[in-house]
Amino acid sequence: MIYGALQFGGANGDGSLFRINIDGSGFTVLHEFDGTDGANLFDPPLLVPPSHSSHPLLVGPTLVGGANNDGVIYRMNLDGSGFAVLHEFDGNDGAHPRDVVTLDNGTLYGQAQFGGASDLGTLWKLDGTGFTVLHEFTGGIDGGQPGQQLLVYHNKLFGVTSSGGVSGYGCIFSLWPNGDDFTVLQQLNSTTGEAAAGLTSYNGLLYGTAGGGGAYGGGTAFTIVPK
Amino acid sequence: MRSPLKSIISVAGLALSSLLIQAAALAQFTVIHNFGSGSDGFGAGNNTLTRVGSTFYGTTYYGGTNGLGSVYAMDAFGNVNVLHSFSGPDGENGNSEGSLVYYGGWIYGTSGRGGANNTGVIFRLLPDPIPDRRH
Repeated sequence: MIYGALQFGGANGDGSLFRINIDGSGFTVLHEFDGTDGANLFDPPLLVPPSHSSHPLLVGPTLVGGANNDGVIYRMNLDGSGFAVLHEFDGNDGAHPRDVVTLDNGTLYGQAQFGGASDLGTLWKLDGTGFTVLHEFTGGIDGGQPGQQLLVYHNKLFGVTSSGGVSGYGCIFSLWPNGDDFTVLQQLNSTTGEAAAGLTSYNGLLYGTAGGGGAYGGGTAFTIVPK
Repeated sequence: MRSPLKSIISVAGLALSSLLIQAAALAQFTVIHNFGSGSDGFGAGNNTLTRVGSTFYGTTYYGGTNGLGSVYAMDAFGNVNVLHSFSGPDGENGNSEGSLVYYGGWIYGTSGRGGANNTGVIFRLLPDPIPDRRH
C-alpha cells in the first residue's frame, strides 16, 4: 500500500490524503481537507511505525490552513479514521511547515518555511510535552526559508535552507535535537549548487542535490562530510 | 503579526544565536555531478535522493530527452544514468514533491503535471540495472 498527499483538489479544493495499491489499483481518498483542518499539502505524510505509537499513523504538514492559515501538523490512522490536528502554527512559532521526521523517541522534528522572529522560518519539535521552537532563522549566515526534509544522522539533525547565507543561496546546517550547537556546515552558491534538497547518508558521507547552479546551471549532486 | 515582547526576546536571542552559529570550519564539500549537460536533466533539487544500497535515485524538474524532467540513478561517485525521460502523457516535471520510494524492486513516484488530465500521475518503473541492496 502506498500513501500520499495531493496539494489541491478533493471536495473542497484544499487537498487530500489517499492510498493506492502497489499495482495501481484501489485508489482511495482517506481525508479531504477543508481549510479549517489544513490545506495545500505540499509534502507527503510520514508513516509512523507501531514502535513509535500504539498503532501505525500518518503524520504530516499542510502548507496553509488551520486557525491562522499558517498551516498545521495533522495525524490520521491508516484507514482514514482518527484525523486530528496536532498543532496549528501562528506565525510566531513558524508558518507554512514542510516535511516532518522522527527520532527513535517518537518526537517529531520539522521545519517551517516562514514565521519566527525574522519571518524566515523555524526549526521545531513536537512531543508529548508540547511544541518547541529550536531555531529561528535570520536570513543571515544561518540561512533562511528551510523547507526540505531533515536528516537524522548519528542522533544529529542535518538540513538545508533555500535562501540566506553568505551568497543568498542558502546553506547546509546541523544541530542537536535539543536545539544546541546550530552549526553552518557549508554555504551554498552558484558553484556548489543552489536550492538544495534534503540530504541522504551513505558510507560516512551526506549526499544531496541542488536544483540550480553548478557548471551547466542545471544543479548539482554533492557530498559533504558531516560534523 | 509578532508581538513586541516576542521581538525583544528575539533580538536578544539573535546575538546569542550568532555566537552559536560557529564560524564554521566548513565541512568538506564536493560536487560530484553537474546537471544540465546532455540529457541528464535540469533542476535536480526538488526532492531528497532515495538510496538503495549504493545507488541513489532522484528526479529533475526539467531536461531529459523531452525537456519535461527525468528519473535518474546515480552511483556514489556521481555517475548519472537516466532511467526515464517524461514525455507528458506519462508525467511531466518529475517528482512534484516528496522523494521516490523503492519497494519490491520498483521505484514509485509522482509527477506534478502531465497525464490524462495534466494534473499529475503516480508512476512506477523497474530500474535497470536492479540495485544491489547489500551495501
